[in-house]
This record gives sequence, C-alpha cells and structure tokens, in this order.
Amino acid sequence: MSALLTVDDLHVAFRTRRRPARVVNGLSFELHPGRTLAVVGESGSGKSVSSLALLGLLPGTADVRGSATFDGAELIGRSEEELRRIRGAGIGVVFQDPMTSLNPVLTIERQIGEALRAHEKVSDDGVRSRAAELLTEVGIPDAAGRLRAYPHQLSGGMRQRVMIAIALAGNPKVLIADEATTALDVTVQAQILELIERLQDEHGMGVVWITHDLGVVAGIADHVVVMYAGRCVEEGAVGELFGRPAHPYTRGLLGALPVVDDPRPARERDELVTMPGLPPDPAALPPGCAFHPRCPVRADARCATEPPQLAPVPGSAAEHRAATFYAEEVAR
Amino acid sequence: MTRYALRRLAQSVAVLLGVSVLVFAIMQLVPGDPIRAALGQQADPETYQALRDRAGLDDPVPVQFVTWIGNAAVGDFGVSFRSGETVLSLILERVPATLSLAVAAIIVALLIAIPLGTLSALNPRKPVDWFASLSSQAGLSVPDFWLGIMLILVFAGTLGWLPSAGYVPLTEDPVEWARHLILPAITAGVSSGAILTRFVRSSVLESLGQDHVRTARAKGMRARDVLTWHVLRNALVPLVTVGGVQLAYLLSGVVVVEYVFAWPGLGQLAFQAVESRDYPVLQGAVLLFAVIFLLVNLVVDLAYARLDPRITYRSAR
Repeated sequence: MSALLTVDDLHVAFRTRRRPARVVNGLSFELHPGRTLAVVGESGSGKSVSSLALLGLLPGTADVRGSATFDGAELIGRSEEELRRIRGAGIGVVFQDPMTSLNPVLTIERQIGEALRAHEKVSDDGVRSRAAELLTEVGIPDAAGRLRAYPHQLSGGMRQRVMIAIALAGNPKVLIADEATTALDVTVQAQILELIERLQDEHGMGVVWITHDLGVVAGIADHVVVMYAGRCVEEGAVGELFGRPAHPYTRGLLGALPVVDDPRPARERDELVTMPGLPPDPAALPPGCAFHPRCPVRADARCATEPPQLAPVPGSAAEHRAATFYAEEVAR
Repeated sequence: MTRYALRRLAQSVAVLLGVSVLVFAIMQLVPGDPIRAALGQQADPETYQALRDRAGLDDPVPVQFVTWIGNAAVGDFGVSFRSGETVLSLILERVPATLSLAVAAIIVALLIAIPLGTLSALNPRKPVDWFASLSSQAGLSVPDFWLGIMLILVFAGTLGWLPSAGYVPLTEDPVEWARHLILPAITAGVSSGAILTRFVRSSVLESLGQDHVRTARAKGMRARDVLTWHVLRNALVPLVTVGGVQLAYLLSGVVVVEYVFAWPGLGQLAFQAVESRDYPVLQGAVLLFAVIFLLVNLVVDLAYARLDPRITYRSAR
C-alpha cells in the first residue's frame, strides 16, 4: 500500500538574531490510509513545528528543507495558493487548545462555514445544513441550535468537537491532531479519542497524532515516532516500541509513566522515574547524539562526537528502528 | 441592555453634576470682572451695576450655583455677557461646524491608521513598518497649527485648489462645504491618525498571533479572508475604544485647528469665552464637552457588546 503522507529528511530552522534555532533536524515518517501514526516527544521536540511546516503554516522566519509528499505531490516549496487548496481539503488539523483555536467573536456556523466555503461554492442554506450535519457527526446534540452559539457558550469538550467538525469539513484524507486532547479533562479526552477513532474508521483517514501523552499513544496508535531535539530517535509498531524500547530516551519516557493497574499497594510500587536535565536549546544542539548529555546508559566519547543514525533494533521486526549505538543493550 | 444604558445615563448625571461644581468653582477663582471685560473700562456705572444684578453676580456663590444648575437642568444656560444671546443658541449654532469637522477628521484618521497600521503589522521590521512608525512619529510631533499653515500655503496659496479658511454650512452648498472641510479635517485628523496607527499596528500584531488565525489558515481560507475576518475583525474591538476617545476629543473642539482655519466651531467659542471671561458661555461649553465624552463612552461600551459576544451587560442589583 502506498503512503498517503511521506515526510523525508525534513529540516526546519528559525532565523533568530543569533544562531538559527534548528528545531527539526531530519525527520522522516510515512502515514498510510486508515492508519494512526503517533508522534511523541517533550515540549519543544519539534513535533508541532513539523506538522505546521507540512502545511506551510510557519511564520516567515522559518527555513524549511527536505521533502514531504502528500498523495504523491510535494508539499515543501509549493506556492501559497497550492498549499491553501490542500489545507482543510487534503489535510485537516485539530489544534490543542479549543479555547483559543476558535475565533471568539464569530458564530460556530460561520466558523464551520468558512471551512466549507474555502474549497467549494456553497449556498447559505447549504452551509447551514452541512454544518449541522457535521456537528451531529461529531456528537453535538441540538446541532441546529448550537450553530448560532459563540465558542464561549460551549464547554471545552464541545469546542474541541467543533474543531474536529471544522477539520472534517473539507473531507481530508489526513487528519493531524496536534495535542488535540491535551487541554481537556481526562473523561473528555477519552470521548474525543473515541470520536476521532470512529471518524477515522468511517472516513478512512490517516491520522497523525501529535502528543506528549504516552497513555494516549498506547490506546490508539499503530506506529509511533519518538522525537527528541527535532529528530526521530526511535520508531516502530506500538506494541514493539512499548514492549522493547531500544532508545534510552524512550525507555526514560516510559519509566515516567505511572502504571495504573499496578496490583501492589501504593508504598511498594516503583517510584516514577524522572529524566534528569532539560531538552537542549535548538540554537545550541550538543554535538554527536543530542541526547548524550542526559543519557543514563552510556554517554561515552563516541556519543559525544558521532550522531547515531536510525538502525533496525536487533531482535525486533525490521520497522522497529532506533538512533542509538546501544539499542541491543537498552532493549534486551 | 436597555437597563444597563439607563443606569449608565443615571451615573452620567452624577458625573455631570461633579463637572459643573468644578467648572463653577474654577470660574470663581479666575481673576477679572466679566462685566468689566464685556463693557470696557469706560462703561457707565449704572449699566455696569444693572448687568451685574441681572447676572446675579453679587449673590453668594452657592446661590449663584444653585440658580445656574437649576436653570441648566431645564436647558437654560443663561445669556452671554458679551453678545446678549442665549448660551444655548450660541452653542447650537456651532454644532454643525464642529460635527462636520470632527466626523471628517476621524474619517481622515481612520483612513490613515487602518491601512498604515495593518500594513506595518503585516510587515514588521520591513521598510513599510519603518515608514509607518516614522510617519506616525512625525504626525504626532508636528504641531497642528504648523501643519494647518503649511497646508494652506500649499493647497490654498501656491496651488489655489482649496479655500484657505472659513466654513460653509452643508445645507447651503454641499460642494463648498466639502471644499472648505478638506484642509481642516486633514489638519485635525493627522495627529489622531498618528495615535491610531500605532494602536492599529499593535492590535493587528496581537490579533495575528492568535491561535484562531492559525485555525483559519489551516481551514484553507484565502489570506485576504483570514485578514478581514480573523485578524481585522478581532483587532477592531479594542480600536473602537481608542477611536471613541479620539472622536470625543475632536468633537469637543480642536481649538488650534479652528483658530487657524477661522472655523466657527465649539473650540473657538470656548476659546473666545475664556478670553472675554464670558462665564455663562464657557460653563455651558464645558458642560457640553462633558456630555459629549460621556455619551461617546456610553456608545462605545454598547458597541462593544455588539462586536464581542463575550460581553453582555446586566444591571447590577
């Protein structure tokens, strides 16, 4: 099956007054129709920037290099008008904070209508009925009544459903959910996850799920890309990556995750592992492996000079790859 | 909303009362004899005394105040010491001229500020931005009277395209009204325009950075529609407040501009009243300015609720 969205060696750097901030440094991944790809990483690891780069939504200070093909056509370097046609219609995005991602002074109908009108001529009545349909589809009761509402009159979960309705309006083949559940209550998170999974099945969309929440990833993803300092440090099928993490960073992330159904009484449980240190400054990336200053495994002279490339993890399926010299030792 | 408006009006009355006390007190503190000023030093003592009696100037100050405020409440602001006309008719006579100038000036200001401020916000640290900030700096620093005189020299003098001064009522001759209005409106509008340009720039910049603008672009909307409906539409909300203050300022008479262009507006009326110690006129004019400010602010606040659905007005209990 050919990929719907292929990102190949994507680089994004922001021009600053001092050195350029290299936020994405050679990211590659593939997304197939109907599949869910999770992109995981800490804040500042370049996950959101990569998705915005695909759609040409970064500010003018960003230099984007590399390649990204959607439906066989190159995205990087396309004209604004060509990208505009792809935004919404080819690739839809749901952003993090539904409080600020909707325009507070326009009605829900208007904001969904804009997404409909951006790609085809629709009459006012057509917009109204299609918008109501979309709201019903994303599980908003009394859709017709809600059309006249303003965002502040809806709850956070409702607003995120509206965002999803907007993203669906253009019938995209790819849906990018950029921290789409991060700002929501846990119960609402679960509803939104379920909703997106259902819509994915119904529409056969490929979903790129950008998150720092590994719990979410375990529940929905087929394939996972772990990002650190703008690079993929490990990728693989979700079961394999969670079962045998091969990169020290992935292992660290998983160690920082509480085990909910741990049968032991609270005081006997393992303490959550926290990873020491902070992600590196993108304007001053460490030489060699960007993770080596924080790496608990080795961090030897080779790590400090030679950047490890993604390589198949010994003993795993071929698609499980990690960018570390010590995959075997870590995965065990 | 109606209840809110009514409550605001009631509050305004209290503010106006305060303003009148202040105005009245200041008049009392200003040295000089208004009747003497009106009649001249050689006036005959009987006429002088008669006028003083008629104006009640020998009554105790609180009595004078109560009399004045009581009359003012029913629309009688007294009689000018200088001309003998009623203050109300003097003011009403000036309203069309002032209204024409203020509205034209605010239009000039907005025509400068919205395009220039938006362009400079869209191109930060580019030549357009430098040009905008330079010209708004210039617009703020250039004194009105100098700009007025320069415009007269060029457009009325050298080029001879426009009249140099004076006012023609709209009802008399619309074309001449407009021709006479252009130079004073530009003169008065430039400094407001300069202030508003900076405001529009920062408001649009803020608006541009909002998440919902990114959403709008991600929908695939055309850049022009995003700019109109998500950037400018939202930037407009705070602009209404600042624009309202500018309009109120222009409505209460731009004294210098009116002076330069011999424009018979309220500013000129107030200025002449100060010169001749024509207290009733000055008091009436200042009270009117206060009313204008209060009304414009009320309208601005009500407009806010129309522009931003998150704002609703309920009367507090």
